[in-house]
Amino acid sequence: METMTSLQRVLTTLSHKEPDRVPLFLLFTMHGAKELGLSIREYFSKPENVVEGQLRLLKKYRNDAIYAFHYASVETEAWGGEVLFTEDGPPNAGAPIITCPDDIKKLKPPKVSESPALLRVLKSIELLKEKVGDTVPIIAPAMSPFSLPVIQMGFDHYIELIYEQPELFQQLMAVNEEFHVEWSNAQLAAGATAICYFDPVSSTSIIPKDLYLKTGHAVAKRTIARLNGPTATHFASGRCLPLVDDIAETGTAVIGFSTDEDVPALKDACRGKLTLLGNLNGIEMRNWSADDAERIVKQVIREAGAGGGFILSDNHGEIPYQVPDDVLLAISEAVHKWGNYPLDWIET
Amino acid sequence: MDSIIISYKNNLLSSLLQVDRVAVRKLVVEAKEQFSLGTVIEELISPVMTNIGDQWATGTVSLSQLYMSGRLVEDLLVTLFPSTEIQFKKHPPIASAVLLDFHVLGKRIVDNSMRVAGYKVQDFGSGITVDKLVQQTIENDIEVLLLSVLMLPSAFRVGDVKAKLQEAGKDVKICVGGAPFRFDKNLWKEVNADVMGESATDAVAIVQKLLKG
Repeated sequence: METMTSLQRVLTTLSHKEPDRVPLFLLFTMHGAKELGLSIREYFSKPENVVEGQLRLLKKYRNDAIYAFHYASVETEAWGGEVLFTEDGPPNAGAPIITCPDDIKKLKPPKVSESPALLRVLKSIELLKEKVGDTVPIIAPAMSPFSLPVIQMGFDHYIELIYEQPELFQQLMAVNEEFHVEWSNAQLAAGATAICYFDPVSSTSIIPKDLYLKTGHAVAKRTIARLNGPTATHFASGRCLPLVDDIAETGTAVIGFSTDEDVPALKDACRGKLTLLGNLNGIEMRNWSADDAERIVKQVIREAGAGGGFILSDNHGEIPYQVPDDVLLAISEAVHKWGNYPLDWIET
Repeated sequence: MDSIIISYKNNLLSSLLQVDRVAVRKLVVEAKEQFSLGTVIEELISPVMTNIGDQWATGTVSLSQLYMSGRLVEDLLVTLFPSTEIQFKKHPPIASAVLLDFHVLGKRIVDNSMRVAGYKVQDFGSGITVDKLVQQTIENDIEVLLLSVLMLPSAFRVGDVKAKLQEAGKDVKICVGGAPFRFDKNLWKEVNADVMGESATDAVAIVQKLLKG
């Protein structure tokens, strides 16, 4: 089979056909800083650093995606929250910006054009698009309106809000949806190929299905319909098998799935409807040997690769800073060795 | 009595999972009329909370159900059972904290479960730094620390807490929980914790074992 560009490879698998090989999305954020010998704070302070980091990682690992994600709390920064940088992990959100119900009533969505942090991300996307054109997909994440409140107000208070104050919950969703649509569409306009709609709270690990249908599902349907490009819905390690048909109904094309998932059952449920993105365990990956990497990559390709509709990635949407280069190279090597279609090494 | 308790347990489990505050309260009020306070807490509420925690660990119950069950029970304890009636156990000082992160959900479930089981747990809060945690642990003569984390780098800092306590000559048992530990079953050993909880409601059984041991 003729070698495809990364974008061709991804588009083919998204149409549930077999490309030349399984696409590889190593979703790097902080590893770019390592490549450039910078601290994480310094790395994210200039779009040019992120561009250089992403391009080096693309080449080094023969990756099939540019990941325009800086850090989740970049959005909290836009809402006026604090960002706490660490030396060895993703910048964390500081104390919640919503501290009482009245704060929700007064909340207004921030303007993308007025947030220096968001503008840095947009600039990175523009520069990356100039470099890769239409050969490599640029994935730009945005927190779903339904999951953003975890950092806006704290997980405990948010769960209480969902159950006990439905009107206020709807008010918060309305504000968050406006922000999400503006933010995602700005990233698409800057050159992103697709939005990674991060929605861990919708996972059945976090809320039961009946509640999801009344909340996260309704929010996703309304929001995704207003975006000017395709989406991948990511549950950041949470389970989603019982929700597959409902997720497909939101209009998304891809689901990021968990290492906890029953992969053959999920593949059956998603066949022809949703492309699977996952599900390597990023936390455990720190201690993998090259043999572990090969065995685990082979296993997930065996379970999810046939017929396309599968992209190899981690299960959380971010490779931890502590994962060594050797392991990442072994993962890349394994997908280049065992991910070539047709997957005729798989016993029928 | 056994069959009545089993029936109460089933109904309480179902009402808690539906987050039906009215039904939960009605059931517990009824049970309190028939049984002693100790029986209601130890043979009804506590095992049902453990059951919900176990179901969360196996993926059949969602985190929101686990958390809200704890909240409903916490509210009941405050409104139905005056603190003077509750028999707290005698035990060495225990504290809970969220190390570096601000995600307090797991810690709140731990605190609720421990209170239901009759343990008094000192609250060291969230976003606490290694040095401050070590200082408060020493100042309060804490013997068991229940630490919750969300982020992987925070998990690594548990090792610093343990090392600094040892340097100070304190043999404090550290029990850890949170997402990084669930996704890497060996991480708790890597950071020199004494034990790990799969679910926040495991804290009760773990503490019982630690204190016996």
